[in-house]
Amino acid sequence: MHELDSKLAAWRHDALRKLRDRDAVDELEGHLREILAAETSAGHAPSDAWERALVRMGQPGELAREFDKLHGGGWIDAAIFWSLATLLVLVVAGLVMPMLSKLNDDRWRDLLISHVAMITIGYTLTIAAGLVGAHYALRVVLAGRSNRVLAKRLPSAVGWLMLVAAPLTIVGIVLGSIWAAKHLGAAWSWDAKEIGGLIAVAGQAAIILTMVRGWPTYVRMALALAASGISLFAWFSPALLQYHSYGPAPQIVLIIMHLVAALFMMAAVLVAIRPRLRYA
Amino acid sequence: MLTKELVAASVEPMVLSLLLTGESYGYAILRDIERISGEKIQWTEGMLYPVLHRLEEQGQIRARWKIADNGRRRKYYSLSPQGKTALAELKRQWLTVHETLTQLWEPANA
Repeated sequence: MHELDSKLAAWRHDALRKLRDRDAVDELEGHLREILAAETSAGHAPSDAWERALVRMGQPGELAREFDKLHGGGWIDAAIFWSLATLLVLVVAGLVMPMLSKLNDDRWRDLLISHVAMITIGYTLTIAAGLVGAHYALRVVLAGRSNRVLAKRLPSAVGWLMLVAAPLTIVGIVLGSIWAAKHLGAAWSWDAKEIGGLIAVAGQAAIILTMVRGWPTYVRMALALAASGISLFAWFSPALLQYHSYGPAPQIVLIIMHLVAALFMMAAVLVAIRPRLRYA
Repeated sequence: MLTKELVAASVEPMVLSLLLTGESYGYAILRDIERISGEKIQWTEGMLYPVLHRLEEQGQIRARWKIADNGRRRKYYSLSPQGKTALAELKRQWLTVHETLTQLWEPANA
């Protein structure tokens, strides 16, 4: 029986990871136990009973695929995704490209252009993760609930974005420090953009931690929204304080700050409605 | 053996019809269908449970956890009023198919 218990525990762990629905896994585990009881009382040895039960029941991955067929992406998902993707492209094209065009001056070249490129990609990916989080939050609010696909694919997308964004942001910060040491006389001065960069990396690391630990979906999505807000703040608020010689006009930065506030509010809403989500 | 398509199409009316007789749970539903069909219909768990969850989300069946005789929690399903209405419509459709095929296969038409 000990052998069966350990196999059941491993099966449950795998099923929870693949189905992301504790209620369904509890039910399927109960079913699996019923099959095992029937097989062992029919005279089969525990290991034989386990094999026979699994043939009947299917592996967790197969069950998850069957459950996934229940939920298509739906028009809401497509509409939200493309709206947010368009918004991101407009933000990058409208705000970041003019900044990069100002980097033609020789004194900005070399290390600094690499630093700006790395930070731009790292922050953009983090903002994209926040938009995926916004997609999830809006879908939950508009449709009244999550579903198994949202609970699996979107967090996975956020995790992968962070696995790329975090190293790029860290390398970007290091390159910026090297440049600052060479041109400004100090590698680190704890100004707004440097502190913002560190907080952005902390947000990215927190999201990666939720992947490693397998924390609930809503935690990762709320963190993605918050990290996105932090990245926007770290990226554009220094312009208000004149820490960068480039950046959008203050009026545009103020609009971006409103977006930052909206992202944090969405993260708060997501955490608040979590108890009502079946798939989280 | 029935084709996969026919089995898939008949899962909902069979589940709803079975629950019309009283509440039941996944394992018992599978066994009952096997027994009633003389083992000609054998569903897999991967087919049944997503259907049960979809019917529950649609409000056609209700679910509640109860402690079973073996001391473990078990999820029981029962038919909702909405499910009874849906079953009546499904029954009408399947009987139409059945009656049409029966007439077509009568010796005079065969």
